[in-house]
Amino acid sequence: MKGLFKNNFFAVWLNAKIFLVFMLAMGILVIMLPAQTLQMYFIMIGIVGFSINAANAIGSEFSSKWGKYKLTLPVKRTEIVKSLFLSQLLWTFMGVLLAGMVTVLSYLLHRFPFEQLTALFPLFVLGISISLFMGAIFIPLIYLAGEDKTIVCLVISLICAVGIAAMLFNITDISPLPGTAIMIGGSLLLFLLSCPFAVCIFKRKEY
Amino acid sequence: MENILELQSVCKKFPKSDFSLDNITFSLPYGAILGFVGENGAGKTTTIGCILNTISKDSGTIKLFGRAMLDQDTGLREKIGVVYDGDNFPNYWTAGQLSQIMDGFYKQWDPSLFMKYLEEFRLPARQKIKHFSRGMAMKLAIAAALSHHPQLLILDEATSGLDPALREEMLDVFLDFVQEENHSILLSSHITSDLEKIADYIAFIHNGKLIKMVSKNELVYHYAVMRCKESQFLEIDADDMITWRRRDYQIDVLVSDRKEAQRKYKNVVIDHVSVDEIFLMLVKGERP
Repeated sequence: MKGLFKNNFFAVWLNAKIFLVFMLAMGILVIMLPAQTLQMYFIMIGIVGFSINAANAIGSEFSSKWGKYKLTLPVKRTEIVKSLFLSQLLWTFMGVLLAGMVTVLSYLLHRFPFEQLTALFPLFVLGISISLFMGAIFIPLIYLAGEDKTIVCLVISLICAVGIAAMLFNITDISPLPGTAIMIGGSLLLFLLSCPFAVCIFKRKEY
Repeated sequence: MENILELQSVCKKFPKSDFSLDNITFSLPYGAILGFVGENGAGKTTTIGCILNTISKDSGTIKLFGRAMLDQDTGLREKIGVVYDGDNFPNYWTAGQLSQIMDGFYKQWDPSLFMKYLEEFRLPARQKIKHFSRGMAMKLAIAAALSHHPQLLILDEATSGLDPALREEMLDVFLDFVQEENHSILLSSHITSDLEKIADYIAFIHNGKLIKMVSKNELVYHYAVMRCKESQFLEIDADDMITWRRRDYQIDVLVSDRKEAQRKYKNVVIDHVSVDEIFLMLVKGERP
């Protein structure tokens, strides 16, 4: 698994470092200017953006024979898929961490000029949910459709994830706490169920 | 003699195409190099895919180190080094990063050996692979395949696309590798001259079927081609021919016993035969 983690990290880091620079620049703006809309965008883009980077890296591996080569290494197919799900989770967490840090710094500098600090919490939940739903749909989908269809799989999974999360987000308006629990629980459940499904598909794939 | 690799009646059909692997049977002894020859699309890569489990076979048995290799047999894959034709690794890596990643996969990964190969092959450790020439990328793949101390190398068209000087350099590396008596190489190629230089056995594949497997000694000392006129051809016993092929006013006949042919057909010119010529005669020739 160590090799797979290193491999996934290098693959994601290639684009994530550019994205990180963009997010840091945006983060400075968010800290300097107390604008609620900017802060909301920052949280959403930060969390979902890193997980999009992680998903996109899966397809980029197949631009060479590395995807096929990996199968000849001392690693099981199940571990390859698990490592992708863990990578997705890790980069989502990275996004949450960055968004959280900037939010805290902004709060320390300006206190909270908006409604309430709790108003931002559902945005974190929404971002995490979209990321998890997207990963849960994208990974099995790319194995089903073929690794050369990364972009279309990414678009489909992102649209589906935003759709599902938006529907569930409406519940949080009506009853915030159960709504939040349903969003996090539902996305996590789908994410966890998607892993054995993706393993099942990947085990039948031929390269 | 014990075999490091054995294929017995391996079959694989592809429902979406007419191509299928049909009863592929061959074995590779310890300490030997087996050249796997066939034209493009003959089934070399599919056979290698079945051996390495990247493709699932429909029937037959494949044994590596005496046992079937399943997905969970990671220990067996520790002993195998693989090189594919073209880009084996993502082009955004450097050779140094490749070493770090491989170190996470192989228990026996030897970073100092890898660095030694990089020096020997004159490859920069810090340059991204996307800036490597094709020859450099292939040398890097060969260095990576050798740096975890494998016992079996499986090379799928690893020398194609390299210039003759570079090919010779790589062939020397392969010959060094099989100096250890428990090391073997399966080398698929359509550059038959390479195989002539280093292979101990040559397997010919055509349209998914193994049409011949022969040791190089047998090929050099016993196989021959008879250059016949029409009248001479008619006198040849069908049992003596493997295949024959008409070329302008001459008919070439492939035989497996040169001395017997020289004794029996005194007036016919009999030449030594190259792997290339055998391959063409097996693929394009007619059988008696």
